Amino acid sequence: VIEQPRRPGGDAVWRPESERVRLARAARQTALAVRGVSAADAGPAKLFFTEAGDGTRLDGVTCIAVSSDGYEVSLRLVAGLVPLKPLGERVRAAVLRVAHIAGIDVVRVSVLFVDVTEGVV
Amino acid sequence: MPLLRTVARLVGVVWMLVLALFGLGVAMYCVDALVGLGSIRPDRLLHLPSVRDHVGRFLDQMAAPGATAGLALLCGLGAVLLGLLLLIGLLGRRRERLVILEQDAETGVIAARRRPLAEMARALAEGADGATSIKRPRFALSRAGTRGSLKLDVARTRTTDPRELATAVQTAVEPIAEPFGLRPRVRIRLGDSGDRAQ
Repeated sequence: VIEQPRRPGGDAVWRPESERVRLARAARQTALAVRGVSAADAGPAKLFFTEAGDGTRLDGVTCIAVSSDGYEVSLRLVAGLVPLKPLGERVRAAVLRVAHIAGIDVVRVSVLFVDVTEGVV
Repeated sequence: MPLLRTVARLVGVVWMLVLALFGLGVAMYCVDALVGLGSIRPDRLLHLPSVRDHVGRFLDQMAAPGATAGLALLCGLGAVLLGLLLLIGLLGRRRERLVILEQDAETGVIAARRRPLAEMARALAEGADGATSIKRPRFALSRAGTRGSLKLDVARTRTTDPRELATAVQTAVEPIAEPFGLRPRVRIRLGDSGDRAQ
């Protein structure tokens, strides 16, 4: 469910990704797979992202460890012209499901719709 | 507000540079106390004695009634206004104004920015019978963003009944207004000649 990054070739040392990054990657992929979500958004200053261990940017998602041994996931998404409340609930449910399967505790999932795109997504 | 914020940041950077240069000048004076700097002393480099003559003359003119004093008064008022604008830019609200759909300390927040909601409301309102054009909807939100009103400015044809159109627009935007706790406020105006209902 939550993939590890590819092993680098050559002599480079392979390091497994942290739980936080794996969760961010999975949450983003899951959210983008939900029907009605068209893209993730890194914010006006392009600072809303999680940096993966391999240097890639996971735009539109942050995961913060909270005191109760879990994570708070925040997503900034661009949606299609669909009812936003059910869409937000679907995204939240999907992220919680994938985190549960991966054995990562998620305390809260916040979803912010920053824009809409026309057409069916 | 974003413009004020940018200007305030820019002024902050410039102010830091000015302070740094001022500190450099003070440091040079301190060095001058030990080792004579001669012609590279800051006041000599900047020709401050001649500047003092010019400024002194200007200050004399300002003290006397006349055009220069009036100009100085206007500049002073402008500086006060500029200072207030910079303060607003510096201390103004930095968080995004969001419309909250659902907020729960246990589960998290589902929210949306105002712009996509306005676009959706407009798209829905345009479907109302008799509406020729709709200006970009505006929001008046509570501080928490959990409730407020959605203001729509709708143009109608001459033959359309304004009350019926207002009801139709309110019904059309209900899918947006209701879940977000927004009260639709519709203003109907007569459209320009040549406009057609959509």
